[in-house]
Amino acid sequence: MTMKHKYSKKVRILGYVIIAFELLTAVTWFAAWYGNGMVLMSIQRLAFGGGSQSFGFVNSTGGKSLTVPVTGGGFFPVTVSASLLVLNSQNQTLSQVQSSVTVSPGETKNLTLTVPNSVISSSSPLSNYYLHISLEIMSLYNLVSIGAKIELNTSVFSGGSKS
Amino acid sequence: MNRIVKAVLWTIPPILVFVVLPSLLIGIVPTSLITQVDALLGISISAFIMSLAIFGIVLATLSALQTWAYKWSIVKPVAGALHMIASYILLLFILGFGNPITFGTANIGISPTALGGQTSGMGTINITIISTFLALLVGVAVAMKTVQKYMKYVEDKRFHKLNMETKAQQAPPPPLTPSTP
Repeated sequence: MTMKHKYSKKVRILGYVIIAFELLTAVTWFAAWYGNGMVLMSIQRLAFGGGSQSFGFVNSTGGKSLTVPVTGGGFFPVTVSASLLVLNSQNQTLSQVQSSVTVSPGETKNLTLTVPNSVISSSSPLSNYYLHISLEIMSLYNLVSIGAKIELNTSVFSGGSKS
Repeated sequence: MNRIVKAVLWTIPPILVFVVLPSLLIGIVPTSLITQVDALLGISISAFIMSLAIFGIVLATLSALQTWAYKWSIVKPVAGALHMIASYILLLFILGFGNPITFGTANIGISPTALGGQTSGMGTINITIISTFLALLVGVAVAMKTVQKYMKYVEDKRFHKLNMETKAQQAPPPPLTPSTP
């Protein structure tokens, strides 16, 4: 008959540490994704309908601005960074603007991208240009993030280009 | 339970999850949809399923090997460590959307033209999903588990040796004089 033995305290403690570590990893990861998902949902609702606000470029002092209200959700602060590249029909970069905001859960901040007036002539609407928009939603020091880069050759915002 | 029966039983979950179910799923889904998804995401679903099947077979083999091996045999911790490493590479493969080298970063290039004429004006969409956090922490857990497996093996080996010595002492002593017929 083979006798059974108990593992030493060291081995058992390491086992408990591993289980606790795995649980903590899973919970933190899901919590981070939940926060990122909440922010993504709020932006998606704004961009693709469902909200009362229009989403598009408006004339502001110094240029044409695109403002995205970002509302934090979940349990961790979430950083949203966006960049906008304006290209002409020859695919030459005319301007690159970047902006980022960090929102705590429940907090709302505006993320504004302004294309200077010097880049876009007043006679030409923004829809005549090519736009590359990058949006990144990050939490936990950029270790959990989702980013999207969209290339547009006309304005496809629901509110349209307001030149 | 017999070690061989146990080993065979432990091959069922990985084979079922990574070989049988994906193959069934791809059989149910219409071919046109698969072709459309391939074009939209720029990856081959069939190749992805095939890679999953390979992972499934490797995991099943290693599962069987570590169940079959005796606790005090070096085969057990080695097969266990290899099983965890293979599982970890599989996780990186899934997080990296078919590319485990990116360490938890998936780059998905979506081509809206594959969707038809609904997205006029839109060029390409690149989506990046970074799960480095998960990849990093699971890596640490795998390392800790490997250490734990080795510690268990050392203790099991020592106990087995002790057990054998006790059994040898308890056995009746051999006769001093050979019995004559």
